[in-house]
Amino acid sequence: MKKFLVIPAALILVCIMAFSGCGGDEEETGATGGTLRCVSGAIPNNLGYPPEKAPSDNYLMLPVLERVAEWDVDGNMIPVLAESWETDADALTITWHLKEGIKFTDGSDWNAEALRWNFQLGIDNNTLTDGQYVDSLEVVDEHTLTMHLNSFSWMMIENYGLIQVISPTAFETSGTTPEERIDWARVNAVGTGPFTVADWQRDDHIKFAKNPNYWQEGLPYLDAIEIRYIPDAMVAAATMEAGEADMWFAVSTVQNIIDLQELGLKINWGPGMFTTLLPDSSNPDSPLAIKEVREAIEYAIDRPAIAEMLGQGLYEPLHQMASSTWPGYVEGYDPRPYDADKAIELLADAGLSAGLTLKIMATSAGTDAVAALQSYLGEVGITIEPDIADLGRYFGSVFGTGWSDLVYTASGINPSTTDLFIHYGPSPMTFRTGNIYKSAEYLALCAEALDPMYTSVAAALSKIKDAIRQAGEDAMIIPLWRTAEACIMQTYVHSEYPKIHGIMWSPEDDWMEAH
Amino acid sequence: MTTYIIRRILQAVVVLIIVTLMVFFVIRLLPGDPLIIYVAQTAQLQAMPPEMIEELRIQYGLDKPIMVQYVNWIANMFRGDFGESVYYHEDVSALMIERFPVTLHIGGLSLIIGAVFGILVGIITAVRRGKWPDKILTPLTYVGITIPVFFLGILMIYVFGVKFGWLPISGYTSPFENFGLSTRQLIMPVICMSFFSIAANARQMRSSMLEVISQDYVRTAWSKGLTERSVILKHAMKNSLIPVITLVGVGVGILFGGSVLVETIFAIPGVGRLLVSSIFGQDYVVVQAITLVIAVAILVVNLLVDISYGWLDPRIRYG
Repeated sequence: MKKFLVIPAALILVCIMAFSGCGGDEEETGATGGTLRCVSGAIPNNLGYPPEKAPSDNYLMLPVLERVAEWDVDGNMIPVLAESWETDADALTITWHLKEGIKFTDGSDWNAEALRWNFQLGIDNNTLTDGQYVDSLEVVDEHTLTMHLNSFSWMMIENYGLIQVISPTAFETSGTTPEERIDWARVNAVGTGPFTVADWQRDDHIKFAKNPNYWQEGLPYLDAIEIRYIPDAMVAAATMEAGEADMWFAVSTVQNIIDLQELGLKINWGPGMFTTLLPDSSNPDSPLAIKEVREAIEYAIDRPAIAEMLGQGLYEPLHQMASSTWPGYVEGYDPRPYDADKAIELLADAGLSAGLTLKIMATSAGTDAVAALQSYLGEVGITIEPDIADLGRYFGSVFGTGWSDLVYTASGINPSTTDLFIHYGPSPMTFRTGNIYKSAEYLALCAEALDPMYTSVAAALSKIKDAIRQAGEDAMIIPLWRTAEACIMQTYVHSEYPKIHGIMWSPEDDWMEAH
Repeated sequence: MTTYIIRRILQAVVVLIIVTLMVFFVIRLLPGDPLIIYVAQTAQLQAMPPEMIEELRIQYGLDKPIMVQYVNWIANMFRGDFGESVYYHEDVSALMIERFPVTLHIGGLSLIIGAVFGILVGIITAVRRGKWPDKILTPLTYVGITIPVFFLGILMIYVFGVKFGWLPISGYTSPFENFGLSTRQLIMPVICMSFFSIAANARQMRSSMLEVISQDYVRTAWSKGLTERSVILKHAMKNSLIPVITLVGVGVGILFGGSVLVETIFAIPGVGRLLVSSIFGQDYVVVQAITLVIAVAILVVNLLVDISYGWLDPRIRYG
């Protein structure tokens, strides 16, 4: 009798385990179908002409335009349309081996010639980062391209690998003059991606339809993606709350994040923005050319308190030119913690015991931050005159004519501290940093970190950390806090965006549970 | 009449010249360089060397002396060429053709609803002065003229979109594409845009109607035993309309102003939102063209309003 009961019970148990196992597999592999309805505070304005793309054009067009390589979650470069790459620092070459059997959605082949054409487009338009280091591009065979360089650094793998490729055939056959082709590409995108553009209305929405011939078998899971442009954060939050959208990209408004999190929506955290005060320290007449004054400012600001107040627990106070999410972060390095007395002492050392008056330029987005800074700096005798500028004057100063005293900035964060070098280091793109004094020691350490002997971020990491430490010793900039960034989604949505550094998105892997 | 219209058109031309001068020079007084703003917002272009930025400056004609730029702009406009947007890389006329129908759709509906309901409420509150319809509706008109559009928009989104889920929160669909969805999407923006004009028109109509119904010829109509409907609609209303029609004409300008807020709140791709983003981006030619077209629209509507006075009150003579 007992045996009689045990056998069916065992069978039932096996069946339950099998079915639950099936359910688990479905969770892992993703359900297919459905339209992912997204809202975004940005919308692609330029669909398929890479030389004119804004950052939002880039990541929002990833369903269509794939990259040669991208970052993994740890900040390492991994191949996408490339199979692999080799670097030869002595010969100054980078050789790209490309995946075979991939086609653009117009039917043309993804091959070395297509990659050469895309690189050349960026070089010709001076928009390929580090393009000036490319001497020539050699198509070795159908799927191998060698870049011959006149200089080499590990940053080039990122700068070249992250380009999004378009179909040369589609571009070249789209008009009779270069102007016609460019006009066409601005509103059409032909790539190798998991989706194609089905409908686009400027400043309103873009719809992507599944690419049935996508090269990764079984992907994408979704039938379509629709991104609607909603510029007002409050309205976008209401849209999520009402269930009219499944996913909201790049949310930086703290209250919205907290409110929607409390309602049970899923949050994927992104890297946020790195906020700083940049001094006009290269101007010898500026008080900020005196290191003690810059140090005093840093000592006078209680960054943890302000970050807590502005970010309601979501901001990270910064004490160095890197956040804890960066590989280049120097563990425990905090050269100037909050110490108002020390700030007063340093100002006295600089001969400014009577105090001084400084301007902080910011856009309206930085008004609260500037008010908080004004309060703390006022405590040590530094009177702040807020200078809230419209975008025209702000960008004109930061990128063009320069600024007086201090400017409050927020810049994107990349995992490999690329931004650090672009913005503050010896990069040729010193557009925005001409006003900042950089010590010879710092520049030398940056140059060492970019030495051709290092072929990856990981290899150069100790030098990068040295450079960050030197910037701290020099009080080169005044780091403030890392802001919050999140992708908010309904509970049934499965997406990694923007866990991978904010500018990475793998829409082919996104899927939704039945809802 | 013809002489009057010709004179008004000539006056409008002078006004337009002043508008072109103001919009052209005022936007250039703003600090900042449109090309730098564009370059700054475009990651790839941040690597652009200054020589290439200068090439762009030449391409967009921004290298020329400011008076030459102005004359070129006017001359090109006469050829139907409003210029090319620095930010969108698109002909401004194409951008306007894309956006104006959306704004006119919402604005037109708002104008009609504002006029019809405003006049209706004004008549009711005047005819039922001191009674319960007046006691309820008149305070509401105070609310209507004081409540900010953005606040009303957010409030409606919260109540009708989020809490009750009756209406879509944002977006625009052409009625030719999906009439049902288009109508549902338009309810909140149109109410938002017309709320002020309903209130303003109602208040104007009420005071105007109160004045008219106390006049002798209306009393005569009552004494003849005519029905209330006949007295109000046939005898009193037409004469009460003149100040209201003036207000409706002014309302066209207010509607374009309101569209800026409403289109931003409800994520509607109309000309108001284009204007705002172009001002922030200092996309000169777009701002100039939109402002000019709006100015022309306001001048035309006000001309029509002036002409309509003669129809409403035949005693009015055009000198």
